[in-house]
Amino acid sequence: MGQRGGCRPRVSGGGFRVKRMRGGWRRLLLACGLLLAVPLAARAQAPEARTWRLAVLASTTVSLEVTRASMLPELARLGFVEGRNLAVSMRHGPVAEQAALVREALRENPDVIFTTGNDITHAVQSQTRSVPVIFFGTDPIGQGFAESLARPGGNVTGVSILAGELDGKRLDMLHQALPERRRVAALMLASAPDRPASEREMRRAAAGLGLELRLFDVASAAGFPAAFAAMRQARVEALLVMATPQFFGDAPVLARLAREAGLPTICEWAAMAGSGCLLGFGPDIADLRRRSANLIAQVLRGARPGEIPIEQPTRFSLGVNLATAQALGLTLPPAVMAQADEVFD
Amino acid sequence: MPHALPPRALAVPLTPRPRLLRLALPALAGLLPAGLARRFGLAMVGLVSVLLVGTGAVNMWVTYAEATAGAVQVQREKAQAAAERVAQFVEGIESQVGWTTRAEWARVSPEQRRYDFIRLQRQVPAITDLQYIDGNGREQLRLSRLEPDVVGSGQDFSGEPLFARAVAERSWRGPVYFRRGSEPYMTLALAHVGRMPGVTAASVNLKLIWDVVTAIRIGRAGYAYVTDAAGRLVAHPDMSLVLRETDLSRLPQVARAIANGDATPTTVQGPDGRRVLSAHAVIPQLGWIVFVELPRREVLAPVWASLVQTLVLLGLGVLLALLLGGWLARRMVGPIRQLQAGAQRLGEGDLSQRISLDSRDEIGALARRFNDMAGRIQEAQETLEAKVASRTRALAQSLDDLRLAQDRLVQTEKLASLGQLTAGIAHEIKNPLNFVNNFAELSAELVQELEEALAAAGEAVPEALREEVAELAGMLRGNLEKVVQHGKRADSIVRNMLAHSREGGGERREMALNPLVEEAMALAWHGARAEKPGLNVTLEKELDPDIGTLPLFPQEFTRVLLNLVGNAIYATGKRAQRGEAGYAPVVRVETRAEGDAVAVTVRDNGTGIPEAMRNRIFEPFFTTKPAGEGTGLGLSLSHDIVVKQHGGAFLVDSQEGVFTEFRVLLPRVAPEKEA
Repeated sequence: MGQRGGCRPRVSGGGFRVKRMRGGWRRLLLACGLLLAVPLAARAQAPEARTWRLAVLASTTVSLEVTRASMLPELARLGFVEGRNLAVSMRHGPVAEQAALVREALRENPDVIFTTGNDITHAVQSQTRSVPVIFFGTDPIGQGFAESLARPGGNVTGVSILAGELDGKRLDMLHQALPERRRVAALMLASAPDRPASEREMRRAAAGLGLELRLFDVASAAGFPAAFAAMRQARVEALLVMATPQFFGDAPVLARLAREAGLPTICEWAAMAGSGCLLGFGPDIADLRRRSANLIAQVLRGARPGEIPIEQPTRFSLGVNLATAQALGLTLPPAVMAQADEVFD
Repeated sequence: MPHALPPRALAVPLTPRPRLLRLALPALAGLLPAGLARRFGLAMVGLVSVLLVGTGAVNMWVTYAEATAGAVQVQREKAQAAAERVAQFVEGIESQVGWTTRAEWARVSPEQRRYDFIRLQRQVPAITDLQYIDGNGREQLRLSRLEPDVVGSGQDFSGEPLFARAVAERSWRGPVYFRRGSEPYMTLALAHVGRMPGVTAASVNLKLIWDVVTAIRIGRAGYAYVTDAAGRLVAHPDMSLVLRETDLSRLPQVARAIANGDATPTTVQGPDGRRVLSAHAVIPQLGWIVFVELPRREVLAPVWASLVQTLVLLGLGVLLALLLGGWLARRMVGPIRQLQAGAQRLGEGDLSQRISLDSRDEIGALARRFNDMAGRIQEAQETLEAKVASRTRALAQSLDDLRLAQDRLVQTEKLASLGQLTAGIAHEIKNPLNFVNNFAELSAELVQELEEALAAAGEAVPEALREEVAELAGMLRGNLEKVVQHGKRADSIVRNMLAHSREGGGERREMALNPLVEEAMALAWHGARAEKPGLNVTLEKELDPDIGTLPLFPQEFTRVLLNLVGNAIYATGKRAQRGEAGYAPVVRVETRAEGDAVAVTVRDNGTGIPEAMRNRIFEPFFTTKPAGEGTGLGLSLSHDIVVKQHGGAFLVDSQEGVFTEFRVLLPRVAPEKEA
């Protein structure tokens, strides 16, 4: 409104102005406007204020790549977007360097640490019992990460991928594929914390199946040639690769060496058949990674890791590499092929 | 209008509620304009508020009832549907497992059986382990996703419920159990067809129901979960709750469902502590209970929406009412204030004050009355003022007249006394002067006679003596002539003085001016010629024939004219004496009628009057003429005659060495005083 617009009865002649209640009305309208504006302004303020820090630790770059490729999108879907409200730092290294890696990571004061592999989880646990840890490993109770699956109780929860637990089943699978071959080698990672559990499972299965099991330990990938030479010397007929992140990272090398040695191999993950192993049997890794991301999100939202049950795989998949089979001159029985979820040509 | 916030209201801390309210209410009222507008606004607000609150309350109650009833109905149906889907999940597994219970399955080769089991495992991801137990209760085949397969273990299961119950009841669904205290599992056992039936037992990972449970959509934030008959959680969208082996039997809705199966939805606390509308349905085959819960907030969302709508409407209504009330009040208050202000201005004396209100209502009528009244007052005032002004003018006029009369009177008195004095003096001087003059003339005649006698004596008187006497007689006669001349001058002065004394003595009468002027000019010219025979001056006259007569004292006025023309001729003569080349002395006399007056102008191109003297020329005895040529009384006398006697005006204009112009203005009508 203009200064006097709208008030029709005007005074002429005298030219004086009649005082009006104009000021009051204007103030009232202003008050109403303010009342309307306040909630709008409040709504306009964005609540996203803090940035969460996630530290990812692994023994191999392959694990980190898988984490980046499969978990960050899932975290983003759950509302934690890297670069916007999530800062991700990734580190990897062999066992010897892991303590230093953990120290480095802890210096960043992360909100949650994600570990792949029991070795690095141990390294973290030895340095902090307060920073929440989501692990992607195996046998949490046997390793001392948690009191029980339903209630871990400490600062560690995560996904148990049944690595060593399934090594017996893998031996069974290998036997199903190659019923004639009785002398079987197992490639073990000497430093793996769950090596004893794996060996126990393998020996139990070998006993049940009546197989001769020979264990070949390596300290790192550098020991592969020697190990394979030893296998040749021992005249083993098939190879079971122990389930451990280190060997997951070395899958292509292992597969090549195995093929050169003429050894049909079963590895930890179905995907490893794609890298050249004859068979790969394990949980559905994508599903487990999604579950891990979910657990990270729960912790970031404030849940206490000690109260989040450790999750276990529900789906398993078998990968078969037909090219490797052909290269080794093998024909796999139908019962094995019937179980195959992924077939690589 | 004083409705600013009281300053105290801003300074007081806002924590105590009643105090806040006590302060807020006046502040709020202060927001409203004062006076009628507030009353109208409040009345409108009250009316609108009552209406809107009333309808809003009814509307809300109806919405609440509908929303609750509808939600209860919907929840019950959702619970039923959810129960069916969970049942379907289990039945689906059963029907898949049932595929291995054909009668001939007992006779197929172990490899085929194993192959069938592998296919079954592939078909149903939820099955972790599969067992075949033959008709004797011995385990023949066990497939596991986690363990090495076992063929022909021969383990005795005949006493186990999974065999005994399955054989007895064709199928058996085991209780929910948690593997390693975390994963929920259930055993399904189906008896084969035929005599001595074997049993296929499957361990089902119930985590897979999660897919079913999360797929059940309950409103926006609603959810479904499943417990077993004991209230232990079997499936929940939050997997962690299931893995933790949560016992929900203490939740009221779960307890109620376990106790009596009353399926009426109620509002309770959900597992996460929020208030929810909970409904449940039992899966009879399993004894499980499916709960469907919808946050109460969501149930009441339409009620809240309705409330918000009502409040917004209320707010808008109140605002509208305020504006409407204010508008109405302004329509009324504005004119009233105009009236008030108009009356105030009128009271302060502005009588031109009018109120322009074109409304046809009572206020308009009041305004018109007011304007009428103001008009009358103004009229009366103006009449009064006009009368006062005219009286004042008349009074001023009278005062002027009085002053004039007084001046004249004083002048007359003065002249009278002066006249008496001069007359006295003149009279006393006149007689001796007559003697001087007469005897001088007589002596001149005697000198004449002496010269004649001398001439008659002839040779009797010696030549030398005779010449000496003749010379003495001539000198004597010259002296006598001078005596006569100056005697006549003195006589003239005396006559003038006597004329002063005679002033006013003449009679004023209507006279034609022009003849008077002509006569005076002629007289003056002859007079001048008489004094100075070689006089060379051109007299011009331009007499307005329309002048006619005017009241004059002819004798006195003639003296004025004579004086002026005489002075003019004298001035031209003076200038002529300087011997300027080509100088033509001119004296011009004009008469002209100028409205109520008549102007007589006498202009000469003589020596002019110096600026410094111009103010003094009307003073008595002031003259520029050399001693003996003027008395200094001429202009003084003329001024008195024109101004005081005739009530006219005497103006002079001159430029030294160029011209002098005297202008006499005579009124056509004689001043009353004179009449």
